[in-house]
Amino acid sequence: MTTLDRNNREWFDDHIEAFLDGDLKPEDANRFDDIALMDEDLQRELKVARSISTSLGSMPDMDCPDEVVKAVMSHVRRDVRGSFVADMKSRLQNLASFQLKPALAVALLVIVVVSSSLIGRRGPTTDPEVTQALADVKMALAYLSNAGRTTGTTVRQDVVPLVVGPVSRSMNELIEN
Amino acid sequence: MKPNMKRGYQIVLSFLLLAGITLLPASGQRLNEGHPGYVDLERIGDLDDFFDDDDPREVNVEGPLMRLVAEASRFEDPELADLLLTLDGVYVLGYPLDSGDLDDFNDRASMIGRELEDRGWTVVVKYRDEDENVRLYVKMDGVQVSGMVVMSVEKGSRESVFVNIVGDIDPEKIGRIGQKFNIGGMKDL
Repeated sequence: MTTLDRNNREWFDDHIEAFLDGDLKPEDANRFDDIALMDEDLQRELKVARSISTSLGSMPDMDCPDEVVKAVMSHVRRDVRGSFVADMKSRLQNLASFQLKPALAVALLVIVVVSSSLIGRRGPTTDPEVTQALADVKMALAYLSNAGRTTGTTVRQDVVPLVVGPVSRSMNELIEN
Repeated sequence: MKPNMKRGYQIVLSFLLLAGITLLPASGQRLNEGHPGYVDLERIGDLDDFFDDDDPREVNVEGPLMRLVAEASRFEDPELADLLLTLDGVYVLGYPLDSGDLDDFNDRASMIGRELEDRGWTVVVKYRDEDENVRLYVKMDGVQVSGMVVMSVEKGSRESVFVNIVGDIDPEKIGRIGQKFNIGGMKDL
């Protein structure tokens, strides 16, 4: 290695695989050729590497055993999950420390209010408390309606048009229909 | 105010608002206590003392629960749902009544009625015989009814019921819609 310095030798070693695979840019390929011509040892090394590459290329393809594929994919999925969780945790920490706590609290409040206003729009409710409250309200309305139908022994004539009249009218309509 | 303090206040206010929505109905404080159509019948009639140790059946539907109830009824009865959305609260007290207590109840109902009239309520119906006593009072706000109170007792059913409805009340709608429901009695609650 009288004419080959250490830098060129290392560059040769780093690029020999790419050279044999034809992946080097033209200028790098020319440089590779120039360096190889400087030293006989490199030329022998290149010849051996080319023969190995040719031998490997002529070998039949082999399938990777299923166990190996499963094990590798398991590791890959675990890594992906781990990086996703770490990424989300990092984002949440950034959010929490980035003046967004009030916004998050308001967003939570909006979710609660909106969801509460939407409950029951999909059909009959199944919430026992609401169902009971609805039954209670219906009962209260029934008492009011019943009182309105009662023939009073003492009825304030000035409020009859406002209360008793409408209630009696609606009752008559129901009876007639 | 420092930015951190301001943020802190915003967080606390948001939390209190959220907590208020969920906890206020359970606190015993009625949302409509300042409403002209609201009456604390238990207090003005001293009903707990009058009925001794009998625990009242109590119904308090107001605020968010009233809106939930309205929406829950929309599927089966849209007209009822619309009516309920105009109401601010429905309050019911029911006490079991011994057959011999009817006269005592009548005296107590008269006392509550006088108190209501002193507060500007108007008696609409007074019906009384030996088996039944029904009183209906309304609170007018201009030409609008803002509150209704019914006191009802029937000897046969052995129950006394006090109802207070608060809100923008349309008596015609209540008469029409309420007629569709049977009075099951407080024992069914």
